[in-house]
Amino acid sequence: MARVGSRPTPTMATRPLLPPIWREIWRHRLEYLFVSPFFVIFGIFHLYPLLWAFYLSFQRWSGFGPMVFVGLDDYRAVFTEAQVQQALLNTLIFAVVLVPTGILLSLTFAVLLNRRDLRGRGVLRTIYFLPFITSAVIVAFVFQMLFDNSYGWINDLLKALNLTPLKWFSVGALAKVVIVVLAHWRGLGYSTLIMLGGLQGIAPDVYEAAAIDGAGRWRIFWDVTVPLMRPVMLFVTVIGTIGVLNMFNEPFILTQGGPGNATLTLTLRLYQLAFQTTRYGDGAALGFLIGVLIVAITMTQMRLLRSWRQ
Amino acid sequence: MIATSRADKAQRLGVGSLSAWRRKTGRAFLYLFLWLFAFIFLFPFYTMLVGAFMPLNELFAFTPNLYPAHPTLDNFVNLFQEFPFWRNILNSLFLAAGQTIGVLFFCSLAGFTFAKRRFPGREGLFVAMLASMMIPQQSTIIPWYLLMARLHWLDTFLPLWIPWWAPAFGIFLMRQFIAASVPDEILEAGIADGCSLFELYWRIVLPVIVPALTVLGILQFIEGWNAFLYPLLVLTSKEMLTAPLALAFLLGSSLMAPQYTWLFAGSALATFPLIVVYFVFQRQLMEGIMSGAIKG
Repeated sequence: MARVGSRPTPTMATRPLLPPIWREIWRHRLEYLFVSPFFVIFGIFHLYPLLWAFYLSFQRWSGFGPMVFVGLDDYRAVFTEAQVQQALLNTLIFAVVLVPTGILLSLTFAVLLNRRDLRGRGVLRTIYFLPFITSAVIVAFVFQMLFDNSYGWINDLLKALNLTPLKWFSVGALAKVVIVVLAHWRGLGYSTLIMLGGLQGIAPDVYEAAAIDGAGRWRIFWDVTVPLMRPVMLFVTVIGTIGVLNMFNEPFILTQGGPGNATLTLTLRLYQLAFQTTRYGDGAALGFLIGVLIVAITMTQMRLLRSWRQ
Repeated sequence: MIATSRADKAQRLGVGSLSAWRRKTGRAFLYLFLWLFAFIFLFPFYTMLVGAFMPLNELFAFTPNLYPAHPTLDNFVNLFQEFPFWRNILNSLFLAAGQTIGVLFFCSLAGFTFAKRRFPGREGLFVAMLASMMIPQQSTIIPWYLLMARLHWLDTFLPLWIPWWAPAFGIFLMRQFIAASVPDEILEAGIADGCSLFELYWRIVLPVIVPALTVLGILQFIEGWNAFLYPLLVLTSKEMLTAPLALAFLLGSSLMAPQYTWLFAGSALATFPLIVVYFVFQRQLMEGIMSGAIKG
């Protein structure tokens, strides 16, 4: 292997015809080798499929036989499909419900768990973060049992409190609630930790100054913590939104998108189109549309993040 | 919180026992609130654990038992008749470990090179790598699957390892950490000793970045262990399924009411190893995520 220190090697002298930039590149061949795995893997397993997907989104193909070029028909079919429209609406509802409530709850948890006078702080943090390690699939089994229409423990609890048991998985809005609860149960610990990290990055003298000015806890929270935490909150918003747009496991196990497509998400519809009905062209078109949606939303949020930083 | 802030002021003004009482109720509410959520976060784990040792009729009794009245191991026995579940758990381990080792190696190697070496086009390549993170997986998933089929990689672990070995985000994290925590002096000393570039990485950089490797490794391991969508696409035979996948197949194949107690038995077995990992590396994991937030 080439020694790093003694780089200008005699082999160079034997290649006088190479322009200097190529000599530079040859001299750093090991560096290129070391960063190459990313580019090779990305090229073969991500970029090539991306180009292939683009091509596929203009074809009609079910995996066998010749492809038929159909122009924009796949996009048209996907745009006008009732399930896709419903899935888009559901996904947006999940985002609009999950992201703000997630910010509110995780910021509250973080502020409380950051208090120095809180006993059992470490234990509580450990418990709050524990759901993060679970598989969404496995937790979905548990939630399916807990919220079961006839035998679920949640309904038993409601009966015990003299309330009406609910048909969780037969009513669209209630099934959405179960998905939201499950997503929060798994995700809140992670966003709480990120918020905690943000809180610990605020210099203590900012609080001291506010306290000297006679601000109470509530005032300090609104006038000091919230403005300083805005970048972290926006970061949580970005990753939370991407998470919702990727949502697949929870509805796949819990509801299969039901009842009546009430919990169908975009990624679940993509899976159904591609791998249950093998409409590869339509699936590729939907994949592209989801991709554009994710990029557009993320870019907008990132731009906001940057403008708030300044 | 309003109560406590008023109490603070009241105490400064010298109002005695009333403010003390308010402060106490404020604290009581604080603890009640936090422990209520702690209970909610723990309860599904409890359900899974007791359900694993209950007969189904006990889990679904009219007035449910919150603990097994007649503990049984039947759920485990039945699960193991239905699926080679030890094998499935081992597959999860195999998948997660295979992903993690590759990710740690390729990310730290590229991260070191981007952080500490100068070469033509370094900035351009780094930016190109970051830009690749914008491509959502949904857009590529169908051809990705078709590619795996063409490579004859279906029903093997290769599609779940190799394409995920060099994630841009991991390389970015490693570059940031190495740039901040590996001093140039020790690298120069290594060069003076005649180390090759790989020896610099292997002997000098790696030992310094163990904390960052630990965090990235645990996060990757958890992700690999719990992976679902991509394994669902490529793994099909019972011997190759991962634990979450085997359980999802069990749920999907049940003709009558799902056998939740079997599922819970499997879920408990599949979750237990991660809980152990979590408790061993808790501190590093939490600190890693918290410090990432400050930079992010």
